[in-house]
Amino acid sequence: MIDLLRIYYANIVAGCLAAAALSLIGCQLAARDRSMHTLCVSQGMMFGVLVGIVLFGDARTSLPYITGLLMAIFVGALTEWITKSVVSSISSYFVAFFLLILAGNHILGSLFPSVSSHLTQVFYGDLATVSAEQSWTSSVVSAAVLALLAIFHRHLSNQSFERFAFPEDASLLSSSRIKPWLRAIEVSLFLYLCYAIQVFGFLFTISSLFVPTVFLSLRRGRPGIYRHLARSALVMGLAVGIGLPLTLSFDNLPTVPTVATVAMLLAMLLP
Amino acid sequence: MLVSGKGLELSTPNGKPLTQAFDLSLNAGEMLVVEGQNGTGKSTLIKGLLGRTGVLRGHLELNVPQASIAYLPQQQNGAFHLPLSLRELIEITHGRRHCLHEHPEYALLEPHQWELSWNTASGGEKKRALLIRALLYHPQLLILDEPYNHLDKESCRAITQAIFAFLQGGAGRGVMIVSHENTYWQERDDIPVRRLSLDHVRVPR
Repeated sequence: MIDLLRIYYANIVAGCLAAAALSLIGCQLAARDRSMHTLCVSQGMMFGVLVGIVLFGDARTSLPYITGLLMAIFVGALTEWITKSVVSSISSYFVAFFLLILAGNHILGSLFPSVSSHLTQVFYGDLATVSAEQSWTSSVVSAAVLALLAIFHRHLSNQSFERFAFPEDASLLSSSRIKPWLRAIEVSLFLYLCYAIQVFGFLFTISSLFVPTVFLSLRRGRPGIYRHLARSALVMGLAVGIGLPLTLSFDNLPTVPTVATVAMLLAMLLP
Repeated sequence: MLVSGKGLELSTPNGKPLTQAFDLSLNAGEMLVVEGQNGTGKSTLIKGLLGRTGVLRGHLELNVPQASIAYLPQQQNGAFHLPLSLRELIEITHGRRHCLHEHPEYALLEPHQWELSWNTASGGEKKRALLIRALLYHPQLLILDEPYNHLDKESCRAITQAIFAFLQGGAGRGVMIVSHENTYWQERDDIPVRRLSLDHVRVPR
């Protein structure tokens, strides 16, 4: 076990930092009711990468990442347009939209066998297969994002509240008018989300975003936004710290589903 | 004069006219009450004043910097995902530097109400917290859209008192309110209240 931990030390650190950062982003996305948008954007990112691999070749070049990012931006804009234009049953639109992109991914995987292995890897993700170099790079990026989220958590939470309480007027409110730099932070977080999907996979990213915040919010108790944010980050960081070594010890345990299950249990049981 | 408009016309974002031309003005120390039936463009007027493009035409002079305007729109009902207390609502907006007892605005809520969750607070408690939040920007111009909707008489009175206190709390301040309720303005004779009825200028549908 100690040997395994020595080998996968970088992966565990990278996973813990990414999970904590993603869980804090997830709190804000859930507060803005953007979970369905995020599912669609994540699938769009994967579709764009697959198209990039088909067009430009190997996944290691940066071109597929750029096509993935462009597709994510396109899908993000489309989901925002749907939100503003459609008045009824928005979640049904998103489910249909998500399934269409998912179908597109599988059609590409079937038509071009060269991308099917990439599709499987990115969809389920596996923290143990992330290279050491990528682990250290992502650790630095995730630590920077965590710092950004910690410094600006108050402003981001305020924006989330305004978008929830005043969805049509949020851009006219005082805080939005005098803090346009928050936009830049939100764009950075969007880019990080796309990056996380490519490095850690769709399932890990979505689980980290929504499992801790959703299960923590099911618990009754005194209100406390700061406590909720801190707990979300702690739960998801611990889930990787416990879940990943567990799957390294038991070959039959899949990494990301185990981490997600541990996160759910921690969120429900943490004192 | 804080706000002055001549020959203003309102329209929907897709260009459908809502009103014929009208004038408005608001001086420092005054309150402007915008009245009208549903669909006359009361909220649209506010959005136009605050810079939303394509809904307001005419000559508008806004002699207040945008940063000195606090706007309290109509709020959407529903549960907020994050477990926010009313105290934290103020903290995430203005920071923790605000000591509750130092600001007269805080008297709008009783001490025990500050720890209530946003999701379990009553409509009146939420509205008071939101008004405190707006007042703590220390604005020159306070704009409120239907602040009395779904509130009991006690909450309506408390909000009216806070608005009057704001107007008299400093020079150069003004308040603009969109409201169906017109009974609360008659409680004080020392606050000049202007009225603008959009019913008279509405374009028939």
